[in-house]
Amino acid sequence: MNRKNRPFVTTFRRLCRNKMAVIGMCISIFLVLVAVFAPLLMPYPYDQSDFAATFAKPSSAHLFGTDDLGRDILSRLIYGARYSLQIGIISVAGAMVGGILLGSIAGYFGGWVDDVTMRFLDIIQAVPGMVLSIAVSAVLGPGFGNCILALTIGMIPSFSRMMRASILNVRKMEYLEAATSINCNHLRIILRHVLPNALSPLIVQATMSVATAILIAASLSFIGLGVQPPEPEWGAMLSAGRGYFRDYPHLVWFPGITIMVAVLSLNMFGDGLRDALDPKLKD
Amino acid sequence: MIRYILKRLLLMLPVLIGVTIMIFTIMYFTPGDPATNILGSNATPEQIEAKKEELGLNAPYPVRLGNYMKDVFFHFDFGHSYINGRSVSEDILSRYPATFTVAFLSIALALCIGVPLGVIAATHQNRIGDYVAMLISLFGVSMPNFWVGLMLVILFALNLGWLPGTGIGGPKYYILPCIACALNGIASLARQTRSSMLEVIRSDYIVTARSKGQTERKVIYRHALTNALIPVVTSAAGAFGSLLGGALVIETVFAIPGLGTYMVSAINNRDYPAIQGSVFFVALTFSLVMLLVDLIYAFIDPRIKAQYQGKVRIKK
Repeated sequence: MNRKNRPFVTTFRRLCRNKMAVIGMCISIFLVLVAVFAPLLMPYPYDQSDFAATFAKPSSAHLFGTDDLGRDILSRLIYGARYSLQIGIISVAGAMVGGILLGSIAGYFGGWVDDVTMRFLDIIQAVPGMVLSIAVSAVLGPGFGNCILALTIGMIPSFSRMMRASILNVRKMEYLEAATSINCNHLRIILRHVLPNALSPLIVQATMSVATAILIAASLSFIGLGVQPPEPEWGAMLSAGRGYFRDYPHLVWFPGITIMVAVLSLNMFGDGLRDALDPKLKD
Repeated sequence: MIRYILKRLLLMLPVLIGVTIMIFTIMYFTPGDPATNILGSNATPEQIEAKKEELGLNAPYPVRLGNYMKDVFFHFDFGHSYINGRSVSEDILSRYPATFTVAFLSIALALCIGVPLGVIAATHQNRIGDYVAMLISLFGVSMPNFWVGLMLVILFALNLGWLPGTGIGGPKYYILPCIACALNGIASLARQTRSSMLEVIRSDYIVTARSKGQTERKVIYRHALTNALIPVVTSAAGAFGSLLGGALVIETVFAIPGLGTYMVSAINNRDYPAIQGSVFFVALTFSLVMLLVDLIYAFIDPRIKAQYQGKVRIKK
């Protein structure tokens, strides 16, 4: 058990030496905690309207001001963290599972299985990820779950390719030959021997993808295909605020900054993670 | 070379056919009925049935798919809009230039700013120039481009009044959308250029170039950059894909009558032929750009060019 943990510990130590990565990690963890404890942190209920105080500028009563219905923007952003982070994390987890499955089947078995899978992915990737997500959510209709599904489908190809490439790298290694020679079955070889050795680029990709997923989800909501406006998803808040931003720019200021901080921290964390997992790439 | 281009063009065909089948199929299984949508909820079942027959919605899936594929690939006809009955391909072609201009200018801008930024970062590694360039690009990849668009409108159109904020009417109108759209590209290209330059700078031929007394300028731009560009071109192609997607969203912010606004309204109206046509066009553009990138490879990497020009072809 102790020996197994060692790579994790070394990676973590290396990660901690990188200031940017630590800042990114702390902000990301902070955002997750905010999302988890949202009901306790919100100064007002996120859906409470106050028609006496619509479009209020930021003040001590409403730190980030209020929107067109007098709802407290800070509270909505805090509660919205749940939507945005869930969308990001679930869709990436889904894409990772799908990608690992497809990629390892293609890479491990090779031959026609590989050809068919790769041609299929070629077709999906002929449509840029964003456009594919737009098309899929157009078909599925708007909503939280559909948004996640649209993002997942859009991200599966890149994970599959990455997994396949990693597997092709390790496939010729002696330890796989050794595993085959002691009569391991395919599933065990993939799960126990191939996957752990191919995992680190996937982890980095996953961290960055959560960031991208949050951005794309916000874009989808913004053009009205993702989460719909009464819900306090960050992109949906921007979409709702767009009608008034000429007179009340704070309606679009804060959701945008929040999205940026979330994405920025995940990117910083991901960068640091990549350097920590693969020291060759650094300096 | 021409044979190679033709071969690549031919290879594009199965991909485009695949995309068409994929889009048609997911549209086919979409819940919701366009006939009811067109006629409104007050229509009688007979009217709806008649409309369905008129639109050819009652035919089985293979027949409809076959007809659609025949129209698309032999007549370049994407059908007619369910909403206003106009030809989808004409509508798309009239709106396409605006979208393409934004995407194209953005990627040009991204290359012109992103690559030098990456070179500066790499040549000043771990010094102030590197940190500033990387900080800029870190922020650049993290900002939603449509939000940047809104911010630019607030600053330059509403507060300063320097530039128009919405619509398309001349070169001036493209400035803000292109900046908003290019930002992510600038940032990702700068990051890619930096890491690829750092890798190249350490190689032996750079040491050779330096040791024979070549000026630093020439070492960086002639020897290092040309070799570092290959992965940059790859990521530029990827960046173009996301810029194209971004341009579709940006159009909503700036009220540009392009493919993006067309697609969004088509989606809201369940106008299937229009959605299918738009996605096909985006895929077509993207595939052509990918082809272009492969040709650029051959141009900047003599090894690849030699593979296709020389009489001795390298076999696997």
